[in-house]
Parts: sequence; C-alpha cells; structure tokens
Amino acid sequence: MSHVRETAKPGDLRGVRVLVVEDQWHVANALRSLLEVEGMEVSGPAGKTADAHRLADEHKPELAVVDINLKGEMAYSLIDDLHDRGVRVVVISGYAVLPRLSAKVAAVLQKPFNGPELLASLRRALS
Amino acid sequence: MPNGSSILRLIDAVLKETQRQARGTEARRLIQHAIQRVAAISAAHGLLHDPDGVTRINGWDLLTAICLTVPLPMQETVELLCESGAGDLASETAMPLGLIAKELITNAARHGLTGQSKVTVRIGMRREAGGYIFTVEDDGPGFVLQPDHARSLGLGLVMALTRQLNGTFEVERGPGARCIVRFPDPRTLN
Repeated sequence: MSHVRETAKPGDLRGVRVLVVEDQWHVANALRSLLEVEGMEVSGPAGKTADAHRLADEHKPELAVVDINLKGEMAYSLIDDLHDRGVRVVVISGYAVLPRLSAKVAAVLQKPFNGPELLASLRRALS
Repeated sequence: MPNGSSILRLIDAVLKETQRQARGTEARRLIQHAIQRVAAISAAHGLLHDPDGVTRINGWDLLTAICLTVPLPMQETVELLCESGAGDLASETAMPLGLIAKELITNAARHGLTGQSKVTVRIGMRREAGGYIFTVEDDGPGFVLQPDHARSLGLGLVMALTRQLNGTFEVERGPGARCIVRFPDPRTLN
C-alpha cells in the first residue's frame, strides 16, 4: 500500500493519515466523520492505548488526535511513543491545565472545541 | 423491538409515500421539509446515539460532538464558540440536545446573518440547581418567541425535543437572540 500523497498542497489535509484516540463514542464518531469529510485517511478511533499502539503500527499515521484521559488511563506514554515514531500529536482534553504534557505534542485543544479549530491545529502540526 | 435507525427509515418511507400521494404544492412542500428534518435526525442519530449503552456523558464531550457535527460550510459563515463547565449528564439527553443545537444553530445561520457577513454563535452548558441550562446565543438581530413559532418546523421541533427532556424553552432578545433550554437531571425525576 502506498502512503505517498501525490496532490497535497501546504495546509492540505487530504490524504494525510491520522490516528484518532478517543474513548468517548460521541466525540470519536464526530471526529472520524469530520476528518473523513476533509479527505484524511483515518485510523481508529481507538479507545485504549493498546489499540492505539496497534493501529500506529499498522497504519503509520502522520498525525494523531489523542484524548489524554481514556477512561482513567492517561495517554502520556502513548504520546511519547507516537512522538518517537515521528507522529505529530494534537492532544484534546477537557482539562484546562495538563502539567505533565511535554514539548512532544504539537498542540493542545481544550474541549469543547469546534471543527475549524481542530483542522487549524492539524494544519499547523503538519507544517 | 426495532431500533431507532429502522424506525427512522420507516418514517422516511411513510413520508415519501405520503408526499407521492399528496395533492397540492403546499402539502408536498411541507412534507418535503419533514423528510429533510427526518434525514437530519437520522444523521444526528448515527452520530449521537451511543451503541455501547454508556449511561453518562461529560458536558464538554457532548458540546464537542455537537460542534464537530455542524457542517463545515456552515461554519464559514457561523463562528461557533463553545463553553461548558465540567460535569456529566445522562446520555439519553445527547440526541435531543444535539438536535436542538442543530436547529438553533441553523436558525442563527439563517436569520443572524441579516446585515452582516458572519454571525457569532455561542453554545454553552452548565449545571444549575436540579438540572442543566443549555444556551445558544447569536449576535444577529434577535427575535421574540411568538405562539405561532410552535407551528414552524424548526422551532416547533426544538419545543417538542425540549418537552422530551422535561424542560422549558425560552428566548431572550438582547443584542441578538439568546435561546435557553432548561432541563432537569433525569436522576432527580421519579
């Protein structure tokens, strides 16, 4: 399977592989729907870090949208792993202050956020 | 028992057959509006109905899901600002609230753009004694809720969904319109 994007322009998210890690079904489903409308290749949503690691192995994402709290399981080690793989990570969270987040994330979006805010964060992360 | 999706497909089929048999342009037009509303409800059902049966949803998660499901072309003329305090609510409120939000955002996009190229819509939710307050505000010209609004398909649907939540619906006119839905926490109802 080829992962080369042939027609991508700067800021263009079409064809970009993105991993969605979100345990809350409503948000996960809405994220997937929005990103697919943008033409992104979405893997997930994964609701657990173990599933996220597996999907990252299988799909080699360029970007990841990661909810920091997965039913009480914090995703810090997953973020470290994704960063080490070269994946740019946008963290989403309801918490205003996330003290343990490192420079390994491209952006943090506090819930609730809207579609244009998320897409702008992804474009900045990609550039 | 049939699930929600199959019931919605059945309603869609009945409406389309009714429209086929309807005589008169106005009747066909109204049925067409109803068909479009059912399609919107089906879309929201697919996005907001949780098949896992989770019983509680966090307010900020619900508002995020609502904001993400507003079509992006609409968000080019509607600046959506979402504000929510922490706190969870019963998941059965997700779909009615999502549909209410969709109707009110559509309403703001349709009427709030009078005299301006972009309308700002603020969606908010917070707890209050015994329940929740959900607000959708815009900076358009505003409107006063009239008794005949209950007959309009959009606001009529908002009022019906609010009743489903055992709640109340009101509109304040300030600068812009402030639509307010108050509803109790189902855990406090017998």
